[in-house]
Amino acid sequence: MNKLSEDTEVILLLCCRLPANVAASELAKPLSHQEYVTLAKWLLRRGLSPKDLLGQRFSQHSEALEQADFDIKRLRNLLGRGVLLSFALERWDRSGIWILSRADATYPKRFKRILGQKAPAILYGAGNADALDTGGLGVVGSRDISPDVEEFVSRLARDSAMQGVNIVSGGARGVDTIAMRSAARAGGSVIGILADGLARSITTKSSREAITAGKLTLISPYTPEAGFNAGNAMSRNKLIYAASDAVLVAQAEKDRGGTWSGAIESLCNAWSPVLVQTEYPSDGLDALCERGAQPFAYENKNSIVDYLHSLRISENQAAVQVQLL
Amino acid sequence: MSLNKECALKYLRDAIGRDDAQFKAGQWKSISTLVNDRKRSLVIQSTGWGKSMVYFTSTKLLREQGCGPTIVISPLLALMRNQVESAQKLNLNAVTLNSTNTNHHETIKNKIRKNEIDILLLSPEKLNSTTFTEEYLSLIANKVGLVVIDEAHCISDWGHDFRPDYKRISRVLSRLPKGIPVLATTATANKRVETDILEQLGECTQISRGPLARPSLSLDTVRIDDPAARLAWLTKKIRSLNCSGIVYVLTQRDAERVADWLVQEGVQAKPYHGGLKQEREELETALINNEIKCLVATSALGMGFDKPDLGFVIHYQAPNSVVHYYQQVGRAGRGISKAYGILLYGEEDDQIHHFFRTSAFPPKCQILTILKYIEESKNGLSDNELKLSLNVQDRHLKRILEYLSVQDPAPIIKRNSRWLRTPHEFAFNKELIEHLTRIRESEWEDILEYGKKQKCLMQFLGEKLDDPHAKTCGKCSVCLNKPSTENDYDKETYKAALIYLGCSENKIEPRKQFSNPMLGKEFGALNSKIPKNQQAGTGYCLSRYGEPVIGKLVKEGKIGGRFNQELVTASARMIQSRWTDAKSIEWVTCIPSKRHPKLVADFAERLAIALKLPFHPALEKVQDRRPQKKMENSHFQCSNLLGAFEANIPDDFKGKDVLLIDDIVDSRWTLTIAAYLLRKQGAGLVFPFALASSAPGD
Repeated sequence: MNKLSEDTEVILLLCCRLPANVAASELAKPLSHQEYVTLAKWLLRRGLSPKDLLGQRFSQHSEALEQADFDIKRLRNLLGRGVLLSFALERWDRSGIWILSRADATYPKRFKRILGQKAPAILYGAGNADALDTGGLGVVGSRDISPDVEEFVSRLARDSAMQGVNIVSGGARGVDTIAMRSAARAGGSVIGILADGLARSITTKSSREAITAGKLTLISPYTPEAGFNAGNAMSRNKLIYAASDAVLVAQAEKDRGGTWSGAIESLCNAWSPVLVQTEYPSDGLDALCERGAQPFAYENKNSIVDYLHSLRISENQAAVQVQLL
Repeated sequence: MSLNKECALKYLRDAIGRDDAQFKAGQWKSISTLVNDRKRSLVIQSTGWGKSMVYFTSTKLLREQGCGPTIVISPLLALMRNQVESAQKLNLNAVTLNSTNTNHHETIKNKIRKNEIDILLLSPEKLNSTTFTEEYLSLIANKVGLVVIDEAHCISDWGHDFRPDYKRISRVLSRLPKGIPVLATTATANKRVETDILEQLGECTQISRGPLARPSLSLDTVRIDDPAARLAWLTKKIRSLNCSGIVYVLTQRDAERVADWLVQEGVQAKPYHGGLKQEREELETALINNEIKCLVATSALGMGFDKPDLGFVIHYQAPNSVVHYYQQVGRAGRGISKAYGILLYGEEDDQIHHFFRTSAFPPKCQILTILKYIEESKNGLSDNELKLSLNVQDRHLKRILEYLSVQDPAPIIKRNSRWLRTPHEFAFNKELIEHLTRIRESEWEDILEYGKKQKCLMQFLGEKLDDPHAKTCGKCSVCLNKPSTENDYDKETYKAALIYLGCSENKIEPRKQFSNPMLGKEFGALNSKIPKNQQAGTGYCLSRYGEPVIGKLVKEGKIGGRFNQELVTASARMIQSRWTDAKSIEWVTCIPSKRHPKLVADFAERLAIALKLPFHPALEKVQDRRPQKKMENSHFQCSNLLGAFEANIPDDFKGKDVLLIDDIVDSRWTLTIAAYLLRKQGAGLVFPFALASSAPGD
């Protein structure tokens, strides 16, 4: 059993969506990411940490919190969800899921460095968590793809794997799945950043075997039982970019869909270099280049490792150290 | 005195109805820990000390401070019913959610929503169900005020009542954030169990431990090896006691047998065991109201059974540990000044416990097979899929799945009724199992030592339970220096007991269905049902394999290759004098065997002569099969017989009722299928008869 830090316990109590009846959730609607960030900043300014809100200690700060416009009743209700949380924790632990919060020293440093306050407060995961700080090549794209693109993606993923480059992707149908599967088959390490169904994914035979072999890390910023939700899928894209040294877009539709918006978001925020493949051009990929994505002529690249390395240096120069709770 | 303590005292006095009532040492300390410090408390006090008063009062105080309801996890329904009533005296609204009150669940849910429930009593099973957590717990879980774990020794790996459901609770408990007060209570925990509970509750737990001695109890032990003498001794003893009580036995079979014997001797006794379902509550009530003299019970009559005027607890066989013994004997004399606790023990107990110990853990190879099977499946397996593909006894399968799923970390989990392999590695912990087995052995040795009566019996129990207050009691047979009573029984009763043990026949209820529809079709039926006119009739087996007198003769015959004439005589006597339905039998046949072609046929022929009926071997074994006893579950037992036999009935036997003989009956499949084939070939009614049964669970 991984004993959670008290800080993480509190962040979970505040932010985690636990199975709750409608009536109960009115009283205890988990904090949104933004709401958590506001609270975390407030704590940090006072030299406090989340654990200072637990149990009897809460009353010491309740007045100040109230003055700062926090909904005391809601916070109290959220923090009172300990029994419910312990049931969920037991269940997740049993399935092999670990939890990291921004308050943990082992929370991926890349996420904090690259995403700043946008880094999710909680990560649920299975497999080797250290892999999340080792970078790699992100591969993303549409769910429905042509056989040509499919062939390209599997070739790229296989070659990367053989050169020891992690493949990072989102676990969705289409490009994601093909990239992850091809890399895994070639014996490579894979990082999957899921928008839904972490609990289900880790018990399929192939995922489980890869996790046990230390070759697969699956994470999600959403509770392990969460179902699909387009908003969640968009919002987890940033983690794919933050976990990768560069992200290759294999196929995208112009102005629509998660792949497009994820790439645009990364370009605007400079999370990580966005590459587009040049073997099978399309309007969408062209449009991304116009917005600043770099063409990636794979046939001219001898070594993906070297290429990523050249990108990483400029990345590090831009790094800022953010103190985050 | 703090404000809280004043309030608390008032509640106590209201509840008891006495203005001068005071808390017992430890009660207030525990309440204060829970209410004022919001910390955890472990209470180890004997039954009747007032453990529930601690959480009633705490709940009352916490509720006044705006806290949510208390959750009480308790293993027994009977106990819950008592608690609900007692809580009302303190104006606490307590409810229990269980399978017997489903029609109230909606109302209860509404009350929970309106914050009208103060105490929610739950079984561990309930707490573990996902629906419950989602539907009910989520309603209150944002403000559970107090968590109470009753019978907390069950959460210990070392506990004598280790239950998988409690294992999960202990894991939830260890993940419970600080600031939620937890009360764990138990009547019996030695140091080892205490340490184990504390590990789950955290180091800051406050402990209250009281003396375990029960001053009203007079203890005694008697060693009697001869089973007939034990029965005779028991009869005389019970007749001499003018109060009601419990006779504890080790197996369901013994509960039935001993109760039956006592009834035959004119004692109003009833069996009580886990095999009985609805009747159990009625039986408990009958004893509580002194409508019967005694219940002959297995350990199923346990935690939570509360009869203050219970006058005696006699152990017909020794339980496996001092903790068990103390718990069971401690049910006597709670509210009266004089009660008796007597332990009978002897050779057979040793054998039974040896069997229990060696079969306590599922064998490694079975565990690994099942795990591998789940591991290799693509999307997990359901219970039924596992049953159809693995030759493992249903109860073993259930136990192994349970065992694996409560490991921490767990190698398998169940989701949407499918078993799935998790990424957690599984290492078979041989050392732990050996260690636990050694502990059980030494616990058994303690019981044997208790039986030797070398020191005050109550003191011995207290010391083994690490009770710091243990001292001589002044009223046990050792303190009073009483002579042993092992020969204290009537010679006439002894003779009757010998005869009783000699006729220990049991009914055989043949199966009415094939194990599944597909197999049914392969056997030539329409579906899984065996047509009524092709079923076997109710049969008999003469004994339990290996049990005193007849069962032992059967075992000797099986090993020696010939059943002796005494068995023929006993069988004929039973069939002619005690089996009224069998009067219509006109001929005799038997189950054939390729491995031992003579053994059963020879016995059947001699029995036919004794019954003055013709013998005809109408069944033939046409295909050699793996022994039926190697088939572990229904599906394998049934399909192993497909095509194994052929029936051939001469015309002059057709339509005539037949006695079908086998030596040992176990799963009943062989007799069922043989009867089915005989009747398909035109036999009349088929009456199965076996010399002994070796059915599991006996």
